[in-house]
Amino acid sequence: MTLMNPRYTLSILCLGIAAVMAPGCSDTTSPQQKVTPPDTAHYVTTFDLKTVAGTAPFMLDSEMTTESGVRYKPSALRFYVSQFSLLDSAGNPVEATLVDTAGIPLKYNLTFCDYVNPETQVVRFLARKGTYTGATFSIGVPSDPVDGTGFNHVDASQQTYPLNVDNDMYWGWNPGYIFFKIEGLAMVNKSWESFYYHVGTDGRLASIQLATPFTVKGAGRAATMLVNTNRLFVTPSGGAFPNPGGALSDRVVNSGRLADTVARNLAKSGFITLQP
Amino acid sequence: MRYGRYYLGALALAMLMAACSAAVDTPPAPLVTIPKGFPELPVPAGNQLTAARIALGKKLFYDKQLSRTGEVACGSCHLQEKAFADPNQFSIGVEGRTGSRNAPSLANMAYNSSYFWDGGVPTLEQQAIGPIINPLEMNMTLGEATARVAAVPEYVTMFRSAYDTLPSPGTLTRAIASFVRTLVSGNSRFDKFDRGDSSAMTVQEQHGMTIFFGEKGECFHCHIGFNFSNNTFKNDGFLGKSIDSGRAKVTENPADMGKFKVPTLRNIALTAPYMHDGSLATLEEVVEHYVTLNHAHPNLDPVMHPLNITDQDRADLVAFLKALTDESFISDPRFKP
Repeated sequence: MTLMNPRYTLSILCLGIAAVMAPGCSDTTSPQQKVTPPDTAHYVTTFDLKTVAGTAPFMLDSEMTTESGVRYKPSALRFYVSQFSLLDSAGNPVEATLVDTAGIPLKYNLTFCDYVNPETQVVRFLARKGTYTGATFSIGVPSDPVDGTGFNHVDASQQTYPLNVDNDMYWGWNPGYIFFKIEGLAMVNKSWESFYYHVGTDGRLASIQLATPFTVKGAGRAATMLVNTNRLFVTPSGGAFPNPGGALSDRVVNSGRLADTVARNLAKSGFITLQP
Repeated sequence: MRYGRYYLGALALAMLMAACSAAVDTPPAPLVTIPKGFPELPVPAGNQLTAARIALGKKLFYDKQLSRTGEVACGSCHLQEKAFADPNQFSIGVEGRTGSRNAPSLANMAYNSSYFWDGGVPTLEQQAIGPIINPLEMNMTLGEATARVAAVPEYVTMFRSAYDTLPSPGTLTRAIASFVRTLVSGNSRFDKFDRGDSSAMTVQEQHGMTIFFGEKGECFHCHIGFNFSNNTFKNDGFLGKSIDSGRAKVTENPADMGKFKVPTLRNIALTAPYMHDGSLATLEEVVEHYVTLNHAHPNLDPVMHPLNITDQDRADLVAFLKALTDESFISDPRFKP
């Protein structure tokens, strides 16, 4: 049997006592080693909207040019953003409640973006600090009146902004909301002619997933949502369609194949991208 | 003089008793008269019928201030003497604007499962929004319409009485829907005949009825039930003079191209002109369409084929249709402005 040197035995004993006592003492004797609890607070965070037409700044009633060379002057650009979530590090959706400036959840959990009103050029939501791999949302008004999460077919006369009838985003002949609207003039055979693309109905809810990492450091801007109107006129495969400078049936749209195309372009052609 | 005082007192007492007696003996007019054989009136839970709501709705129905220019009310295009239809092919909206479809009768709208010729609207409350905001009809915002009525003290009192609130877009449309819901019609000579009064219809009308409900006329395939409508959408081969996608405007389904809501035939003699575009002026022309039907539309309803009926059959059929007029409906004081 081998006995330990008494000097070592005493040293080990002292270390043991110190180790046992250390945590208890740290609160009072070593504040710089204090363990900070994780920040689970939700901050009022924003994606600020910036609208362009290709490389040119977007302005109402000003001339822009599509990627295929069609000249157009938009007079309105409006849409709803709904079903908003952030994507965590694993790419899973994380709830991000849409809120107002005071952090109060928006009544319908959707945001209305109307270019003519600068106050609406922001998507404001609650998020925890951290790094996210992207965001996912829809352009439109979801329809699921059964569980109360959708409002597309409710009695609009009973609703308030932004789902009130007078918000100019409602179809009285087929109750439901216009999800997305761009209107204006386009050059057609050397003449400025009107065009409009009104996209609505349940099947055209445009789901968008933006896989661009960004960090929420606290309250305030987390990223910029870049809205590029020229991408409305480009199909996901790169075709120049629809053509606002084309025939009347190509530039006056509220249903049918062209509305399907615009909804697809909204979702898949890079109409909205994210810039950290 | 002394007796005179007693006489006066007795007279006052007698008058008071008479007034009380009248109040007790005369039952209040029912909010809605449901004809025998009709189902219970469908009323949504969120807008139960009350006398105050119906009265408010009627006032709004006839108020031209609900249009942008103050020219047009609901009642401008839905005339009681025409069973709340419009004798014009296309109703005239603000500044003389016109649409492309004929305004239908409002009789028995409460029983419909959808509204407008293409059935795009599911409730009477939502239907009330459409004409107000339609640029071709009243061309108004709900906000402005509400503001105008809110500026009228009588309206404020009526809204408080009806909905216990100040005027709002939601109560405005609900009130109009409440009034329209009461426009029930089911007291024609056909109804009286159907209830056992064999003298209510002539022999010719009875023969026309046999054609209508038999395999000769086959009208009953679509115009069936207490309201003479199966509430579906059919392509009956009538395309009209301008392109109208009909039900497909709502569904975007090519199979619905040219289909329109099957209208009630009640009071049909009063609701000329006919068809979705009001392009047929008389019932004789309508029958002529079904006799000469020659239309190869892919969505033509399978039951449609040219009718093989004589000239006398045609006349009898039209006579029967005229027996569907409800005179009490078009003179009912409850519906007048």
